[in-house]
Amino acid sequence: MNLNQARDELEDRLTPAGEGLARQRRADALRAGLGHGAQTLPRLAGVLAIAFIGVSYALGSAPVNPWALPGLLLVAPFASALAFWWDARRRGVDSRTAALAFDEHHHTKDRVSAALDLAERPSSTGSDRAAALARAAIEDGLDTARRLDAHVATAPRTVAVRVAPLLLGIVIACVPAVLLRGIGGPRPDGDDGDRPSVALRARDAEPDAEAPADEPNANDAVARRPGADSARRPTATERADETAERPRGERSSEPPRTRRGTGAGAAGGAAPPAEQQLSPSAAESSSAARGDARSGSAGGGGSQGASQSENEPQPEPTREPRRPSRPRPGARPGETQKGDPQQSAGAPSGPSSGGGQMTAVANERAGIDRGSERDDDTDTDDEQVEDEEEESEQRGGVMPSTRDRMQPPSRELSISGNGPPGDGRGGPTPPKKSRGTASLVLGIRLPDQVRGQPNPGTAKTTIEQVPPVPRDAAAHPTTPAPSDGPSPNVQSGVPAHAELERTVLRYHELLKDTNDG
Amino acid sequence: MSTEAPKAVREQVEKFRVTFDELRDEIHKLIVGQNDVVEGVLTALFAGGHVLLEGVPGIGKTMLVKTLGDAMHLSKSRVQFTPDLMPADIVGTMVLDEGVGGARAIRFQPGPIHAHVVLADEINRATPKTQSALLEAMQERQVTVAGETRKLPDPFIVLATQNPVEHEGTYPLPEAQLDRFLFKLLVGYPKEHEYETILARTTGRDLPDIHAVTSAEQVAAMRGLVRDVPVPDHARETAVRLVMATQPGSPYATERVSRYVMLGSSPRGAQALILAGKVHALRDGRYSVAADDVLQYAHASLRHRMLLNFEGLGDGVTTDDLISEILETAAAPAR
Repeated sequence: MNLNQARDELEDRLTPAGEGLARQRRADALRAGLGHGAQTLPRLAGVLAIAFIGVSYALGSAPVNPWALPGLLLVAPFASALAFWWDARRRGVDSRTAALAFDEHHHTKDRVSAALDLAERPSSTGSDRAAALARAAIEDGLDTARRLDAHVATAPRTVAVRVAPLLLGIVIACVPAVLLRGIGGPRPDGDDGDRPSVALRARDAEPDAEAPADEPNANDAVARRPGADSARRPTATERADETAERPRGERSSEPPRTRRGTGAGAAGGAAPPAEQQLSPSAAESSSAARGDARSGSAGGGGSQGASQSENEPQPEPTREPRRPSRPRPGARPGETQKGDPQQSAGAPSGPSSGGGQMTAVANERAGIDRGSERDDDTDTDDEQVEDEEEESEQRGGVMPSTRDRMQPPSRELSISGNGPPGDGRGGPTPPKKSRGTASLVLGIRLPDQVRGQPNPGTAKTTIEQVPPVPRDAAAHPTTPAPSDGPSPNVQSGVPAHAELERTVLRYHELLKDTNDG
Repeated sequence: MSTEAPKAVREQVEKFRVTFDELRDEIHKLIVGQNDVVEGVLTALFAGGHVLLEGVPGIGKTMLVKTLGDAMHLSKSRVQFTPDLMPADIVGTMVLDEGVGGARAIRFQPGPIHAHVVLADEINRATPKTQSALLEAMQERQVTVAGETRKLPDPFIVLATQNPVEHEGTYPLPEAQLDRFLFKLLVGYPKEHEYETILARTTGRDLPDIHAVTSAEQVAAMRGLVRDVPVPDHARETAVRLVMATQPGSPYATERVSRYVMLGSSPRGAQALILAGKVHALRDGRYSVAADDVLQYAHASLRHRMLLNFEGLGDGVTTDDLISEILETAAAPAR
């Protein structure tokens, strides 16, 4: 049997396993799709509800019955399951996966998958024994596949379809029906009724439109709807209850009826008289400030700030303006830096007194610069770096900065090293960075055994200075060395003994005769 | 397909399996318990690697080396590493030798590394210079002294030990040197029921005789057989995925690995996994490597190749914990 035959037989035998695995995977995908759809139901319901409410308000009536939303929503899990099932069907199961599943099911330690893998390879490029081992592995896998049942029963994948997200999604889908209860369905006569008017909202945005002088608040105009006057005004207790029950975002649309301000923030309705009293430049700066301060809202915050501005002094800005940095040596005295025009125009950094939403100055970095706090040290450091770079460039090229370069610690082995980090200017030596056993040798008192004493002591070094003492040279006569001839040594000093020489000669002759004989 | 070649190979595989089991049983005549350590050492021996044994003194490491040498009829040596040990004390040196007739000549005096089985006891007590000399010999399987290169005997295996508790006055092995060990095996204390056997064997007059089960030539042939075992794709993928899962930032790394690991395993880790898997497959009488064979020695192959960061050390995380987590999550072969 050659490799192709072995591969074909393996694939044939693995076909039932692959089909069973594919069926199992499709069923798993169906369950996984249902679970996935149920999990995403709350988010989907939220998006759907918001979109439905938005469309209903825009059209003035609900396009369909709001109670149909939960029913529509329940389609999502089934659509998800269908998509998952289709994806699993499209991918299918190849023979390799089937072989791995077969091995896992029968605990055959990858015999079949290894056989299939080795049979699919081209002829082995290794040694003869490697090829023989591969053939043995293929035969082993074939025997295993023939011996065992090809049907694979893998455990179905457990996917828990949770009820909580499902219920939550349905509840969220019911929200539009509850909220749009007053709107009702579409009206054929085109009567506006309670629906919000786009034209009115546009009109609210205009400051001078129909806002009376004694308008309670700008928010009142924003929140007003046609027909609101004809509706019954709630009592104070009902209003308090409503305010407490509504979320924070909804409260802003309710007009604060208890407070009667001038309403300068009512889209700037009362601002022009105040500005007219100022000089033209001040009015200009005021408008610039109104446009620049993007953090100041055009709503209640702005109106409050404006209402306070008439009777109370202007509040201090929350952030100090950036200090002017030291002028450069080459800069002219009257020259200002970037971002300064806004500051020179006297723009306050606090909330705007008007309701402008557009920036009066195109440079958006002005606000960023004002918001970022910097201290003088940072500015000084920046300037120092710039100076160094300039000097480096003047020397003919950019040199590395040596400001933060410290002297490396010394590796000398000496008795010291408790000083601060070295700066190269003398003084106490820095901590030593020595390594190895050599650092243990010097400078450390080692316990030692003192001779004659049973207990260990410490090693001590005593240095005694002995001053030179003059002595009489005549008491020690010297002998001059011989000036010529070989210097006497041990060999030449020993006289050759004639008897010894003869004995040695006789020994060698005897030895030679012995070796020859 | 010819049936002659597979028949011969089948016999070789069967002989490998039998020899492995006989060796293990012979070693267990003296070494009580420590099954994982004994099998790990034998696996490393046939895979052609070296082993780092970590354990406290007195649990039979030296006895294991001696028994291993006796059971395979191999030469063995032991080097006690100390801070003043020099590379020449390990690899050998040139000495001036005086002959019989008074002739003097310089000859090479081989060091203890010129043996089949070398026990480097407390390797972390020697200086990095000496450690690197040993590890270079382990990697190259040869030493160069006075300009002459000398081959080390084959088979050659180094069993290095280090103490896990005493770190004062030691020179911990750098990561690059730890990487050269195929396995790092943890040698623990014997179990309660093993003490009786240990005391009976070691406090009597006679020790059990160890017979040579195999020889150096046969061990070399078995090593060659290991190298020829084919590796299917899914087993190789498992090894690669397992090694990549130890590297922080890789797609297979778990959250804890990315958080606690500073340095993951190198490709040497994958080599160790595959070689160990080959030995394990042959031991099991199979002719190719399975994915489970690769996972069998994951802890021993990877625990010393992972370096924890400061946070990991501070939280008391061990590399074994992370490897266990990887085995459960990231290293499963694609089914």
